[in-house]
Amino acid sequence: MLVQMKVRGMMFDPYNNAYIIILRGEEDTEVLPIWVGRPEANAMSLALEGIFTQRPMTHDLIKNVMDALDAKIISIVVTDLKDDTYFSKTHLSYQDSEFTIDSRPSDAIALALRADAPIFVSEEVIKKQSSEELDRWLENLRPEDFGKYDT
Amino acid sequence: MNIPLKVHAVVSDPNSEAQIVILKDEQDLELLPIWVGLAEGNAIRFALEGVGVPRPLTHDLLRDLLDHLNVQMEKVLIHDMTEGTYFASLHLIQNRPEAHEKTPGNPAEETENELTIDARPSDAIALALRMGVPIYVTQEVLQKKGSENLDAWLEKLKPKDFGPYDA
Repeated sequence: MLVQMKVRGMMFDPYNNAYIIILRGEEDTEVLPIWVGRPEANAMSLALEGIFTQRPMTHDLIKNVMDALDAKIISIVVTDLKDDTYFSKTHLSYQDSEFTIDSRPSDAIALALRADAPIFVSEEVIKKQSSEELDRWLENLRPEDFGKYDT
Repeated sequence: MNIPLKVHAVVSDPNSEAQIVILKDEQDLELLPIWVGLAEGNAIRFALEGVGVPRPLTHDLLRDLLDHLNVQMEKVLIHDMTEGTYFASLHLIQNRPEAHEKTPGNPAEETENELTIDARPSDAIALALRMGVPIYVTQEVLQKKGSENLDAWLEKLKPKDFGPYDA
């Protein structure tokens, strides 16, 4: 079963010197934090804030290439979580066929945001992520970190 | 005339997080340094060093995308330089099935469609290395760059900054 989720927030994690992308389901009960590096967080915040840079950044280039080819992103799906690594796939349509490309969630989400494509997460992944540790971590987050973005 | 270049090295700018991609022509007569961001510099370095990564990086994704869609890349061209910013383009060849009346024994034909996509040189180079296609610069850009005073900058670089890469 797939759950549709949206990017609702982004935070800096000083303990890991990394950024956390917060995905939330429609019900708001499902939360999925994904840790990414600074370049990936930058790529996402540019899309989230609707900032257009003078020159195309890497994900803009990918989107531009797809537009020129007339390829469309149908959706992205976070399919698995293994050894603290998330796995995801980008689904696209091209010339009457559909293709699935293995991608990191950060890249897939950065593209989905630019293409306005839905983000789905497998229920198993959400269950795997849910744990006592996560609840404790969630308690430490400030309320204003959630719901900053309406995507 | 377009001049083919090779990526000679990626060095770190001592003053900032920026990286410098040093391109050279085949005779080692011309040297073209291009400032790029940290992520882009790393992407280029990984391709030069043949570093495998467990999960596809962004430029790997772009290469995989082109492979899946059966799009070939002909070359990358650095075609302009304005106010210190270099402009590049990806030259792609798209295969398109021709809308055709199929008759037995006459399979649908494919046409080739050439596409030029605007890109930053860093992305273009990172992709060119992954796709094994040549990197060119126009004569005009080399001439424009020649008018800047690089000698002072070059004197500041230490010999060991120039790496063993020959791509």
